[in-house]
Amino acid sequence: MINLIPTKRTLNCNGVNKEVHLLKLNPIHPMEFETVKKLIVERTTLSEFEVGFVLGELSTIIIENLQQGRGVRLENLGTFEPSLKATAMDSAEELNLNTVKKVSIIYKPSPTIKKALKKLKMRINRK
Amino acid sequence: MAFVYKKKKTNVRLGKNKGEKYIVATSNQGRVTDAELKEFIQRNSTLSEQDVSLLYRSLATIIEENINLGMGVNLKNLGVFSPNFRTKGSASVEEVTTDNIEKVVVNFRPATKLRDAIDNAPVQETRKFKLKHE
Repeated sequence: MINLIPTKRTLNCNGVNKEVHLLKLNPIHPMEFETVKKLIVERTTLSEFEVGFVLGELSTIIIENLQQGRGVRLENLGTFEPSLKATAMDSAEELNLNTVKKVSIIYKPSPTIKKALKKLKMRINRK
Repeated sequence: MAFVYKKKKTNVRLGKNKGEKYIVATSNQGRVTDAELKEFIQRNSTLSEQDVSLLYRSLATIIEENINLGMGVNLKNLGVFSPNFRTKGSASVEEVTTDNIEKVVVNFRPATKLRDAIDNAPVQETRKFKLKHE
């Protein structure tokens, strides 16, 4: 069950400030890597060293491939794709490396995770 | 090898500079699949394909379970996966209900190591390129 809390924000719309009430997630610290490793060890026949090794290699492979512009698809987890944010120019000749503002990563969850998201149960904590 | 971009024509419909514009976009360099990843890990360790599959499935399950609790998961050198959602605003707090939630998503915030690696990746233009109108 996800706990939500109502919150108030002031939004600026066309120069006019407007107060709206929104829902936000009750903040919880994420589960740490060491805890993830221990849980995987409990659920598999792998040792903590092996789990740490695979997850470390996984990060390395993802980094290396994203640096080369290649996406990475992980079973049940999702896909990591590289992405560019760039300034639009009036002609193709003006395009060069300087028009690239930012290189980033797009994460697309797997169908398994998307399905889990649709079944999420939520409640509002109004206190 | 470098991060490869291509030139692309687009139609900008919003903002002050509307109209036909040109931008740089990522050039599809393919995708590494599960099978390739497992093979790489198998070659460099004593683990079997089943071991690696089981590990990935356990990892996905752990992320799902934590998302159900509204909790993120920190994967050290990779990043943090956390639940978030898109919501409509209401004029008063009494009108705020779970029906305001339009979509629930999983955010991925890359770790510093990953972000720095991508920021510092060499970038070059693709050699095979032709605009559609040429």
